[in-house]
Amino acid sequence: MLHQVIMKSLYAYLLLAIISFFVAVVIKIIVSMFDRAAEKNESSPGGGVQAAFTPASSPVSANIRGIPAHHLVAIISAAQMVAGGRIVRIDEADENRSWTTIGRSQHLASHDIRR
Amino acid sequence: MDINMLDLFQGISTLVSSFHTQPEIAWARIFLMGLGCVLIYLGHKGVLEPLLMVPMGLGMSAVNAGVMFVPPSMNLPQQGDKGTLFLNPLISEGEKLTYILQVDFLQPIYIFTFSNGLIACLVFMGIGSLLDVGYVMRRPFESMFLAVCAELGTIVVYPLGVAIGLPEGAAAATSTIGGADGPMVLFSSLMLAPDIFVPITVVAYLYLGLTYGGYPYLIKLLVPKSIRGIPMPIEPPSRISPGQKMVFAIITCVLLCLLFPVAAPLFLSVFLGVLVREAGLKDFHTLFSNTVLYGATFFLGLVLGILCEAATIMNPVVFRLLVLGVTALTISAIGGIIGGYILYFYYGKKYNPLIGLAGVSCVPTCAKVAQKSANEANPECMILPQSLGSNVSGVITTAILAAILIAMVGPVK
Repeated sequence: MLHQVIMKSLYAYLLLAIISFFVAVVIKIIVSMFDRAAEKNESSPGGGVQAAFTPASSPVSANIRGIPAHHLVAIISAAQMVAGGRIVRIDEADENRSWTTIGRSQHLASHDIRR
Repeated sequence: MDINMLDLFQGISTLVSSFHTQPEIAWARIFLMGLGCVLIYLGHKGVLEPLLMVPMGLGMSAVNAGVMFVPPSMNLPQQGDKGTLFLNPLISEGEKLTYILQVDFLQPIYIFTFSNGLIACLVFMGIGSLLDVGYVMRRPFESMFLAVCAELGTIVVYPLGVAIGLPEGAAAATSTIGGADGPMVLFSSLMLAPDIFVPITVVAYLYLGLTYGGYPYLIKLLVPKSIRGIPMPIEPPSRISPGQKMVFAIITCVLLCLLFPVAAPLFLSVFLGVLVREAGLKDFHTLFSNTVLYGATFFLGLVLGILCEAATIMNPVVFRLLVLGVTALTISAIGGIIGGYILYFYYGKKYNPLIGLAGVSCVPTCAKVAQKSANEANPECMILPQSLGSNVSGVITTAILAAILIAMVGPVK
């Protein structure tokens, strides 16, 4: 009986490994397909690459979700200077909630490693 | 008129009566009243998870204080003449259940959300809405490998449980504690061993405290400081879009439900949460990540505390489950660290093995524990993204393994 249970247990582990590998393959295929589609889109005529950053002196800066890229660079650099090594999160505010509610919600859902 | 003054204070009267008839129950009540207060304190101090320990602790203290003499309509014959107005988990059918549903204030919560696994599904919906599957998608093989290694506790404890005399279903359900996934343990015990549902859920949720409180010491024992502080390379910004994450959630959910229908409710719940998050359904996301998650967590903690009434859990089985549960969690952590070490050598000693510990699927606690331990050795070390990847994969592998065990051992008819 115990021998049978041990064999069952090992069989379950093997099955788990195989299915997990299968799931990992599926994930890889999905990610690869979308990467290829994104690359095709970027290389096709008219498919623009959204520049991550342009120099701050450039008269026309790229925007990231409506925020000028050089603004983001300045904010992140300032945060790093003041308290280096911290994770900075910049996100859109929810117009329907006050900033305190947003902050509390973010805190509760955050991965705060300094607890 | 002769009045027995003690009968006016039934909590004390039942305690005195128990000292005469069942002294072990009486002492257990006093111990559990104190333990409840200790759990609240430890939760408040952050040693244990406060979201669960605070309601659980107070529930535990209150239910063991509030024992009274009850009529036969509120108890099964073997339960005697003492009970509470909180809930009676042993009554499950017939007229007594209908009666008790109208009397005990938490009985409806227990019957309609615990017994059918709904509370586990609600918690999973909330967890899913907080999960960022992007971490898994960026490094799927590595994350899944570590998560599989971190399931070692389940594999070892299942035959161990049988060896010490548990029925196969009970051993399999108890072994799932090694996955450190409370909702999965709840569900497994409902399917495989409903008769030990109460003690197993009590033991299962203590994992939250064990992982946060005990794992750092295990890490110090197994991983030298120089290796704990190995920094992971900074990765380029992710190109995984919300659309890709949605496709991943849909395909994985349907595939896993197809393979393992016994765990389909849990797969649906967690991926529904992921889908709501990635689809940008803000109101649903707020609902799931706040109201649903915290509401379900609150009632889970409270009902678990109430279930820790002395007469309910004073059972030799509970002690065995506790030992097996702790063993499963410890071996799972060791398995995860072994997986981490395999990758450490595979990548030429440039991989932090603490990431393997995060494969134990207590999200995000184990990832936080891994990051905290790495920071203690090297303040500049950042392993949280990789840890979250294996942490999230742990949820998936725990669900898969629970489904495999339920399919192999068979649900109780």
